[in-house]
Amino acid sequence: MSNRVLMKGNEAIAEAAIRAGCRHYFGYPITPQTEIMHYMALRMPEVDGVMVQAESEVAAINMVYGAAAAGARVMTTSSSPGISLKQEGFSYIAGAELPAVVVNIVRAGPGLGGILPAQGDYFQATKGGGHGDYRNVVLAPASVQELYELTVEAFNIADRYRVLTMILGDGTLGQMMEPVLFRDEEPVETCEKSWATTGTRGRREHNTIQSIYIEADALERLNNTLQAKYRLIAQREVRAETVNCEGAEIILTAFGTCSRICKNVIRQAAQIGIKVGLVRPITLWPFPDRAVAAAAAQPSVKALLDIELNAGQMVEDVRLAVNGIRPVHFYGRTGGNLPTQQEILDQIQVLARS
Amino acid sequence: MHAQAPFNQAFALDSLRRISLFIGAYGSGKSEVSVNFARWLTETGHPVTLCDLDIINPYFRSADARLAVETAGIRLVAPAFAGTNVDVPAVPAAVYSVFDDASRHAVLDVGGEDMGARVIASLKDRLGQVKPAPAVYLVVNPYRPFSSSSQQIVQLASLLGEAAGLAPTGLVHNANLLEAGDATLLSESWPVVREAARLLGIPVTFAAAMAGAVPPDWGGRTPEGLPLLRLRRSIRYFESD
Repeated sequence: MSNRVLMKGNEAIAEAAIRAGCRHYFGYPITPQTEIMHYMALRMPEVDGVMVQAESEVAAINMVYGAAAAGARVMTTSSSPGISLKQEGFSYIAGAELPAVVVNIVRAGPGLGGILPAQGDYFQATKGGGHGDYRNVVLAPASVQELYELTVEAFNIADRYRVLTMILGDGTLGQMMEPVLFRDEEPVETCEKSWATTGTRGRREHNTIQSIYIEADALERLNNTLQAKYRLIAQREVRAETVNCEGAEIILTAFGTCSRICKNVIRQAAQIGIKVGLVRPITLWPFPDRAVAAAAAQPSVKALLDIELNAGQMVEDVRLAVNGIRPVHFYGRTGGNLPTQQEILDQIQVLARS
Repeated sequence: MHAQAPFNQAFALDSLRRISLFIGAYGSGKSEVSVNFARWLTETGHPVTLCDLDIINPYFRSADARLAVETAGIRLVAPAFAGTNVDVPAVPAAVYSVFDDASRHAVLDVGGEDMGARVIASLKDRLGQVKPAPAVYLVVNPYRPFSSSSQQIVQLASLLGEAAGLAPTGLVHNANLLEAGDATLLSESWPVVREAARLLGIPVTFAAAMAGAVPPDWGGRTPEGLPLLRLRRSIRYFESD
């Protein structure tokens, strides 16, 4: 049969991880991402891998720390409240410069919130969440195919820079089904992990994985190393998709699920004579400032309109990128609701008339 | 309500039971097949109750097709919390109405995997009293993970049949890649499904495919001779995707 498979977003993430060489998965179930664990439970034994349902999210992220320290390609996944619990571990992973992949299939918050889709964890994902000066690379897929491709890429980025790389999805992306076309061979980069604690067998000095530094200067050196690494990532790894931006009157900014609604709105707006473009950040950190600024700077642009499943989070980065040269407006829905095309179109019509 | 010709006018089953249960793996297409099967029944003049018994997954379920279902004149029984933020595995009490009112057909859309099928075990005593015995259809999409070989389908049938306390009485060959599918899917995957049915000793009762993926001139049968239920997509993620 063909290499096309009909998959849930969550299943595509799990299969992608296995294809990327991940053989260690630690998690704790939570809606709307539990299919990832379920899939791992079925598939990991087939590839001599390990799926552990840990006793808590905190345990799972510390198992990730251990496996990553030993040089394994490792992943954990959760949804918003579970990701909050893992934040301490993220900071330790950053401090120890360990590569790991984390998936957050976001649900509506705050608190226990609800199980329906949301993007309310943008701040937490891109600005920290744990303590100290650190960054996680954050990728925002918008289709099941992209969940597969970006999960493979997340492992490469994590290894390349020894950073935690996060896939930030939402309940809709995790649960929806779309055909996935698998590549015959995955673009898996192999990095030599000479720093990993793989056992010396008496042939080398032992490696140490740590995030504790007794001397202030030593800790500052680590911080300087991390910041240099983050600057390099910001130069090299920025990704964005632009749609219909040239000569547009209104520029939409949206990621993930919202960007799909916006693409439909672009077609609807064209039918009533309003040219609308879209900048879709694929990396949320590093944020595609230049793509947003370039689209905004066109003389044709009257305003930007940022659409999110939250009360206004990425819009702050859009405003920083636009730096005051154009007005930036926001429309969002919360609680697990999705904006309708008509709601977005109504906002566009108001801006286009002003 | 019946002014228009039935959408699946040419679809017919040799042995139609009053109660039809649809079980299957996650994402096998149980809900879409259930909704479209119920629409076919109602369009051909049978009063129908559609029961959304999915206690496994709160996302994308037959209750999400409420408008299409109720417009078609189908009575929908769904958990009170379907489509809300509450993740409570509760079976609606109204499901028992399908046993009391023998004048209506009933289509039971059961949750995914063995956990979902276990709901059926709780209704086993009542189901066992229904004459003739209800049809238990295992919906199989060979383009889904863990359903792409005959062996996997046989394993699934045994797992789900055991959990439900009722063995499947027939397979539904739902070869489906949603809008990316075409007419080749049914024929390409037919040997896998036919072999699974042979190993299980049950028939492939009918096939299902997205209406846009199969040619109109097939009428009510696939080239392999199976009754063909054309699916109108009723559960969508976004308005116009």
